Amino acid sequence: MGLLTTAAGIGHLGSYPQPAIAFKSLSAREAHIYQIIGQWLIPPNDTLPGHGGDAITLQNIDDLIAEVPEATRTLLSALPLAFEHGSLVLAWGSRRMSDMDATALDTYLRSWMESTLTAQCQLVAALKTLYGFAYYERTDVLEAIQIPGVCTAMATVE
Amino acid sequence: MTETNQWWSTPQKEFSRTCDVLIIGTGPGGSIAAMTLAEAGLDVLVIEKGRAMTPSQMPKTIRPAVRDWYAESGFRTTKGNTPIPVAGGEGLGGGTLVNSALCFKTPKTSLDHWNELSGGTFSDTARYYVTQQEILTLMQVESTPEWLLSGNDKAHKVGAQKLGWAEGNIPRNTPGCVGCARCNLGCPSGGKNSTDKEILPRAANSGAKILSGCMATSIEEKPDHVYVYGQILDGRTVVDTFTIRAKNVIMSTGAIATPSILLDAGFGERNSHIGTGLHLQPVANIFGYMPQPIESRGATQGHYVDAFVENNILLESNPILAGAFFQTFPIFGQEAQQLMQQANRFISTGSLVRDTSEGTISKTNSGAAQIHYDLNDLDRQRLIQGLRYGAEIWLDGAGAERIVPALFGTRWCNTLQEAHDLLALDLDVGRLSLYSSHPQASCRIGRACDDQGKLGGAKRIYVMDSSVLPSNVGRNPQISIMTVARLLAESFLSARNVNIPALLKE
Repeated sequence: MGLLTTAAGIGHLGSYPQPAIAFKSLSAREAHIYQIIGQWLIPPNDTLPGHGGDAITLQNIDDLIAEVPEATRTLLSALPLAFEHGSLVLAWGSRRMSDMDATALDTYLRSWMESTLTAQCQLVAALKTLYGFAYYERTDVLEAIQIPGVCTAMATVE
Repeated sequence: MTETNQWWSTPQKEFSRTCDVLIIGTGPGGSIAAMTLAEAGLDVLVIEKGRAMTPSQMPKTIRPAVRDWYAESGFRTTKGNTPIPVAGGEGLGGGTLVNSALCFKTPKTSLDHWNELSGGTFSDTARYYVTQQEILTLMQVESTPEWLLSGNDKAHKVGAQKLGWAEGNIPRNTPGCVGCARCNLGCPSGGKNSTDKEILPRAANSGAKILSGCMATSIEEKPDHVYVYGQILDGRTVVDTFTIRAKNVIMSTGAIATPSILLDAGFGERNSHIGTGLHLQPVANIFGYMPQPIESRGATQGHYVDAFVENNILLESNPILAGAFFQTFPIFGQEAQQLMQQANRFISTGSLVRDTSEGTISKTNSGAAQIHYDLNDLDRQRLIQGLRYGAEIWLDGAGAERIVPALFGTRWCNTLQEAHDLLALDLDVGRLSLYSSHPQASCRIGRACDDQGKLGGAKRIYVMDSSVLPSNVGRNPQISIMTVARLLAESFLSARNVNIPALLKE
């Protein structure tokens, strides 16, 4: 069993590409994981600008978490890792998420989204909160979905 | 906040000062205490951790607003049997800057309960209500006019009326509201009468010195003075330090930060009640969408249902935040992209419960508040019942197409029966996805503080904010906090034989 675990763990090792953007807080590993999940969660669409893994969304995630207290930042660091390495438990023997091909990635992330286990659901909610505010609260996206993103008065008060 | 006559300052380098009274925090409690004491002629210094900003400088979107104006950049959360995010405002005006401007009166049942818990501190109910009425006048509170109701508010109202539930338009302190539905970002039009509009400037006009960007980190009480040490901030970056020597200190940083600061400073060794009895008034939300587009602009929250207050449940129409819908709706991928394009049909209501659960606060950990709160079974049941009411108002009242209760692991409900099946009364507490904007009662009169708001185990430290309430209000507490803080400030003056200035100017 120990050998099997070690063998499975080896599939989770490896480096991550350096991001093209200089982030305030996100590490190369975190940025890469958020990029992959974001593009799957909020894919490019004919009507809406950008997507969940584009540079603006990643910068917004970085901006959201850059100034949280140190203890909270440590906890937040675990969030992308749960998805990256959750495959060790949820898809026994498979690669880390960022090394999966498109079909395996879709199956794996879909299993997270459709899980009924409370702990998994809470992690999904935390993840979707980040993307919700990093992507769907962008002014260009708000305009596209017809929600006033900036103060648009319905009346003038004398 | 006027754009030209700046009444506050932001220190840039190390300083030391002395004063008679130091007030820490500029939310509803600290602001009214500062105005009262300064207008009585006391030498008042006020410090605020957050920054100052004029309406034209207000953030344009939710992300910078949350990052800059909310405690812990919006990531403050409880530990317990279900995690609950706890919002708090940081900036000149504190919570009044980023709340939805809801201004309910203190219910008589709550006041009676406080009086019982505090051993008679609130027995003069006539004085309480006269003061509260003056606060309502000062804050320019009026019921939300019909023309200002958003599409969400109107659907909420139609739903409640169809079901025959007691309801009303929410009273708000927004005399200049133009209906852009962005109160929670800091009012960009200047229409919300937050305490930085009139109350803090009045304090400054009477001689109070008001400093933004100053965070208290430690408090040391000596026989004749209190020393407060802190950090000067540029945003959240520490640029220098300060020391203030005051004859008296008033803590007004809210029900999370006030006990956290006191416990970090070691007062917990003299007073075991600091940080106990915390109420959160948790909110459970129901999201959904209508068959047709509705007006997104209007009051941020303009309508309420109080048909269930005897069961400690209050329904309020919610702000429409696209990010919150994406988080709750069970959607991802292209389905999400398609549905989110119909955001102009989205509706939301929150079920606020006057909780009986009590949490605790302990020393901070690397700058993060440590809040432990287990929701008890009675509150769990009430929140589920509140979600059921929310499902009913949307599906059977307003004619919504579909709804989603905010649960961890939720699903669409097309009918009330489907909603009831999902919202079984034995639903596990860990499934509830809750939210809190109203932490209260963590340094209570009758426990941690005496009837003057003076901290037990201290001689020169007082508490005048939401933490001093003997229990929770059961409604949005802004007006209750201001009323109690005003009465405590008056007691502070009376104890020193200082005349009490009028609350309302001629």
